[in-house]
Amino acid sequence: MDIIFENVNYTYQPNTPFSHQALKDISLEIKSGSFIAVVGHTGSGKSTLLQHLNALLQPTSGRLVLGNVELPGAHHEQIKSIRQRVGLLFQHPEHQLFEETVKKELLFGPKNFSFDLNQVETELNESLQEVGLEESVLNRSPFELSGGQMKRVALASMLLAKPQVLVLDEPTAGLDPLGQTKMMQLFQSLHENKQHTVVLVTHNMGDAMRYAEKVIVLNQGTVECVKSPGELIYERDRLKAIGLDVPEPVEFVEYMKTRLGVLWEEDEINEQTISRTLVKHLKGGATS
Amino acid sequence: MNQSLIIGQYVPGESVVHKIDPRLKLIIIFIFVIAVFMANNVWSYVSLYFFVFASVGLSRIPVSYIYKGLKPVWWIIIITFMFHFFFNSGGSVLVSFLGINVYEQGVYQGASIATRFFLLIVLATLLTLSTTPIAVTDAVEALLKPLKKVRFPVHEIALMMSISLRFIPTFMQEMDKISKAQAARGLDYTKGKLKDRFKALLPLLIPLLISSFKRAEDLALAMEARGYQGEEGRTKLRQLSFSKIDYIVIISLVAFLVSFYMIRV
Repeated sequence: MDIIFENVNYTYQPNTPFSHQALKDISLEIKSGSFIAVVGHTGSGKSTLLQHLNALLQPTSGRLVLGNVELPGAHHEQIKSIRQRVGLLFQHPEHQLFEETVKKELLFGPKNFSFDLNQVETELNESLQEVGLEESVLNRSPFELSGGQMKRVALASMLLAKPQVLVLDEPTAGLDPLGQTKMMQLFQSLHENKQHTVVLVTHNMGDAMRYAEKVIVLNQGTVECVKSPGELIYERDRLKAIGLDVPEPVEFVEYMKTRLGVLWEEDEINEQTISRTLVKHLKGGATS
Repeated sequence: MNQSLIIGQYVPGESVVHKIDPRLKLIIIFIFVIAVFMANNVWSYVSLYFFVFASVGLSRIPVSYIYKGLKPVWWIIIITFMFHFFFNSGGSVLVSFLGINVYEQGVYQGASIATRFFLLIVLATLLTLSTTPIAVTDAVEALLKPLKKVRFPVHEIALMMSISLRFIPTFMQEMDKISKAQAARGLDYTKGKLKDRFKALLPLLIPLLISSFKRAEDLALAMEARGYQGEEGRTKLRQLSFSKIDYIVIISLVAFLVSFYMIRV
């Protein structure tokens, strides 16, 4: 399903001294089946934007189209169907667990969306495997698990509701480096093999560049720019100005250009283009 | 989050009312409560209204905001008034329609009780809007100090008060986050039978309970780590002291009370 923001504004606690406009005139399009990263400094409106995708917040003004549903103005059943089709994983999903066993926890979403639970039970093992958990956790209490495992349980619980769009808020926060890579690879394989749309909110510019097809940069409630990872190279100063980390590969290319005097003529930054340029540079240096 | 109830939400400001010593503010409220119940004619009520509106004006907090915050209270005030209006049967009959008699005393009692209620609520709201919770607890601690002589645990009570006040917003945020997380998983606690709705509260309450226990533990550890050992040898970063504003406020308060006393019958 396509997601379209049209001049969306959102204000927290309107008409009070605490009134705060978190989104200002946002217009965006997220195509079905794409992998999008949303980056921005703290307070840039990332998490407000995110909650709109799941109809947890609705535009104060403007229009938001989620597939065949339009906000504001959708009725209760439509919103429920949106919540099933868009799986939202909050930043610390381990805080949402409450059931006695992991199995009940996993069935919580499907039960709310009135799935056939017998059918879902047959899929439990597969989904556990998918997120990297063992079958033996099914009958344990979720509170006995480690933080990383709890995160995976929450993720599996979301996937069992069969969403078409995955919205992930800093999904790798608090995981060890290996766990982070594994989880990111899981999202990538879900994207590639099952054509899920993925919207990833992250601080990690490296992840954004490596996995996303398009990067949306937010700054103080507005869309600063929408770029492909390759184009981000040219935005180095702009990213720095709005308080974002510059992705490591971009910094490295900058370093090569300014300190090593390498001539950079590629469009994209990735391992191939960097090594190609370095080889060219070294060869050139050898001949002259 | 419940956005209509504002009592307890501090609105930062630099006004005279913000700057009054919190101890003095508590004393003023205390005196005001007594004054409200001593008022016994129209002019004394008018002077109390004047006092409250003057304080609101001096605080520079938007009147519309305070008005909105009183929404939940309006109903109580109106119902109280109606109750007296229809059911109190003192004095002579004023009007009579559809077999219902409205008595003189009913109107008078209804109006005065509704007025008292309104004045007290507005002033109490103004106190919380113009004073940080920390300042309020400091003031309570300072005012209760004499009770220490009879071994009343003043410091501990004040600490408990400030911790609970401090964590109300955190708790609300946490509640908001968890209810959103569960809503995203399809939880629906606005529809269905009462029993189902009650059951739907569990996914909110359990995580909330767990996180507050964790938070309490963390807080206890953090306090230990910083060497907290109760009141002994403890000094304050912000010493409460009366400034020029406070003396001016005291003088005007005394002037107000004297004239209030004269107006009364």
